Amino acid sequence: MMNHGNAAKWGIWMLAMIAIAPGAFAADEDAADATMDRLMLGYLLVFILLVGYLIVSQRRNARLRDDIEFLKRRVDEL
Amino acid sequence: MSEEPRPETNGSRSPTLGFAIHGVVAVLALAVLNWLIATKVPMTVGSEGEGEMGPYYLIFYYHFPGAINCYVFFIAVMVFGILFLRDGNPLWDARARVAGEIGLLACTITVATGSTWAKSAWNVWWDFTDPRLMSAAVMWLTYAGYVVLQQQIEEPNKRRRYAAVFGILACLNVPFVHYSIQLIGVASHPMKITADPIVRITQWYGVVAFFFLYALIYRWKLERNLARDAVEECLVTVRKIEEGARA
Repeated sequence: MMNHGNAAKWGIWMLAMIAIAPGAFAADEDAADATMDRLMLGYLLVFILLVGYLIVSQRRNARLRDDIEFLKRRVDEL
Repeated sequence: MSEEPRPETNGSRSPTLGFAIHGVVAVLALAVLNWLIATKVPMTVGSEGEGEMGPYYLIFYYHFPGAINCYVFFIAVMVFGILFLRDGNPLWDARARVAGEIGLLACTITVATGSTWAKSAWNVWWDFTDPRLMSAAVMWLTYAGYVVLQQQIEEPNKRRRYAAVFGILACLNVPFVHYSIQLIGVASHPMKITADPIVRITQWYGVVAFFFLYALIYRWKLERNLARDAVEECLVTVRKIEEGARA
């Protein structure tokens, strides 16, 4: 079955992306300019957080795979 | 039993270093994209059939990369499916599975940003008469089905074969979505934005910048899936040993 924890995480990331959609509801051009700067910084923060999470998580993945390979070799010896 | 020491994570270079560099490149590429959107592109453009679109058109710079990248990953699903059927290597199926999920993510962002744009431009969240919107929705449902298929069939070889064939056939959606307006007729979907060259440069640069991000997520997910598959293989071996010991 699909992992609900992962689906929830992806859902949160997608909602974060959609929730600050750039310029969609700007009323006039001056307000749109200021809004755009904030929105682009907001999106950049989301990207930085996402990439940071992936890098930290991937380090754990790499260690896990090495442990698994070690375990497989020990199991094969049995 | 031999006392083999537990290995370090790599040979001469950590496999996570390449991943971290990829992540930094992705963030920098997206930072440049956001800077272009905030400072360089015009706040409004015209389009054939719609006239001036206003600042809400800016969502196009996230919408367009999502669309092109979902095509790329869905085509990758087809290619990996063909390669799996050709030589039976389960690694191709693992790659196809992740490519399908990432393509579905990109397609979801495309549909969601497109719907937000539609609300601003046409005052409706969805236009059921627009062939591109409807064909994109069908494509989304098809690949959602592919992702579910990859999760549901227990027997691995059967699952891989069915998924490979499904993934190859599902790719027929891609040209149909792309040419839906030409094939079916006039639609409200903006076809050509008339604007500065900076708009063209930014839209295609956005495709590349977002590709770096999607490819990073792809690598991360593939690593996790391969680790999970390796754990399951170990568990199967341990069970066989236990059954052998009992017998």
